[in-house]
Amino acid sequence: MNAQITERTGILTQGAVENLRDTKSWRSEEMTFLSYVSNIIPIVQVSAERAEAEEQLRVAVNLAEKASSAKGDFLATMSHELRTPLTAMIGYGEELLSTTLQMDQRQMAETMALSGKSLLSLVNDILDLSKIEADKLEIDHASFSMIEMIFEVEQLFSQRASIKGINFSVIREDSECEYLFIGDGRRISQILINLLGNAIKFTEYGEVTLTIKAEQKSRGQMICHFLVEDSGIGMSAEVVERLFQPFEQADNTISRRFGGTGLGLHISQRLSELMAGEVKVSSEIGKGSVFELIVPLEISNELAPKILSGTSVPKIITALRGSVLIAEDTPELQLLERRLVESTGASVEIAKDGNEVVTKALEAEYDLILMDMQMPGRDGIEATRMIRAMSCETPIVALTANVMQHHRDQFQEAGVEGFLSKPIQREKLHQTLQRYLHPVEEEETESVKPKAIIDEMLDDELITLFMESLTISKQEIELAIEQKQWKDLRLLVHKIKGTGTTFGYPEITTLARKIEEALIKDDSPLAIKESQQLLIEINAILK
Amino acid sequence: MMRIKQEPKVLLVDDESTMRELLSNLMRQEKCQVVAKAKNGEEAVNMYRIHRPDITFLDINMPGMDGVETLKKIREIDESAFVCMVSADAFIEMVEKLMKVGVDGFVVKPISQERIHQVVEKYRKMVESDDE
Repeated sequence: MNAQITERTGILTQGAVENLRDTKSWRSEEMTFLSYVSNIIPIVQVSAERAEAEEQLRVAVNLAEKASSAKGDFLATMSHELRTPLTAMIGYGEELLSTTLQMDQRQMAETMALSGKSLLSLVNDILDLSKIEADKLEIDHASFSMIEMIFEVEQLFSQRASIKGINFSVIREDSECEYLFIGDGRRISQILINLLGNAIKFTEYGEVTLTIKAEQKSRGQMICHFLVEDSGIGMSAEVVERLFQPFEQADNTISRRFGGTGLGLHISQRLSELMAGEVKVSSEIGKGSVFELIVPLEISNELAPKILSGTSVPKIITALRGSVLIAEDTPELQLLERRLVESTGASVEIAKDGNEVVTKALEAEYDLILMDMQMPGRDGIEATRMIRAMSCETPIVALTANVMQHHRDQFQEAGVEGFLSKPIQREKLHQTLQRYLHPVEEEETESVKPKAIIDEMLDDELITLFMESLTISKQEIELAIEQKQWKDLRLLVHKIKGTGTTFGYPEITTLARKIEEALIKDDSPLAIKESQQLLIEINAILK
Repeated sequence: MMRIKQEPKVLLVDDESTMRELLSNLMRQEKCQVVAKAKNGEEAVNMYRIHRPDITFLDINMPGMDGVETLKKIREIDESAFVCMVSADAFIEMVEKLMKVGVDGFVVKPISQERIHQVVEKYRKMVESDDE
């Protein structure tokens, strides 16, 4: 008997609950019944509360999803709005520097270009941090070449270390690096650049080493260790504890002395965590620091393509002929991109939106179409699809800030052959142009600075750094001579000895060596005489 | 499966005889066989029905029934007809309209051999992938 009642009321209360959910108006019989039942089975009350709670939850989730997507839109817009004028600033700065300028004009232009680059770096950091905070930062899952990534990082820092007179070396402990790994190569590279940049920044003499180890966790799974060791100023235990907080620096004189926002390490740590890894540090004041990035990565059984030694040698830009159609909606970037392409000798046509590029692509023949992927109205992908649908096979290269694997797949599907990431790097643009346009037959030998071995158009930043460093050295040498500080002088010329030949100025290396030898023998008069000569040489270079 | 290599059969439609001549020459270079020529839309539809060409080159600007109308009528006969439009310009509205109706190629006068080659190649690739 009891069991029967329980079953019947159970079924009846279920029905009542269903009605509760659909409508909020209750019939009087149900009210009576429910109030009777509620004495026996409190589940009904709970269900009603739960139904209302569920409704509230639905509303809240809906609002949160809207807020989240609004955040995403905001970040995307901000990213574009901030990067576009910066791209223009840096691009025009470099263009300006490639023209003939007076010394003071050049210095001003270099300062502007450098400031633009610093600002871009800061903007990138802030945008990264915002994305991480909003849970909108995606970690790529694509195959990349470990050796290529290490090679690029090595290229980036070996000159910088050399200028400071620091020994920089890269040690690869395992042969696994030869294979393709699967993960986010770009973000790992970003972390390494942050760690190495710090190591070099906070080290005055001695060495910085990058060691890569890969241990096998299971089949196809590796744990990769990247160790950045330096013999720099080191940090105390308290500093280490606070190190990864955003905006934290070892002490508040650091940003004045060394620059930097204090965001880099925090972002590196968050990125490593998003990749299921971590960043560890150990340090001792006066001895130096070791930063270790540990990240699990899948390894493929495909070998990475070999790096040809030729690729590290910067080429002189060859003159080209051909016609390029550029689809770009931002006026400043239209002008910039036009200049960049026209400087090779090729002709340029601009389309200011997706519709125009389709029309122009079909109405005339071009050797190459550079397609901005993010244009309002008809975007780059749609325009590409339309052009391909009309069986026009003109090569299309995407210009895009979106470089994730799934975006690349989308572009490829639409009919794009390659892509250039924004902000556009001159070297990459020239490589692309050389691929699709034809070189001019006649030999063009524009007189490159006879002593410099690095093409000025490619390494503006390094040349600038070198010149700055040289200017400071000059002033310090003059001061040391005046105050007869021979120990200081010796350190200064030692540094110059290391960098002179590297940058194509062997004369100052020779002179520096002579001065050093003279100082070792305590021959101050000789040292002074040679130093005067050195200063004359340095002045000539700085002109 | 043995694939018989044939020359694609082509229908040329243009109200100007010089254009028909030019396209004929280009077809010879592309190893295509011109099976019929038409000088207006109505003739084009008739020729299509009779010859069932592999590729049709269709002028947009013709007196009487224009290119788009003709295209629609051809598609009524054969939905999968491979048609390339020929036009003096590429206004975006026209391109959009053609995409809606369904078109396989679009070349703008003056006609370049390269573009014609691209169209014929597209047809050849399509046939190859159908065979697979």
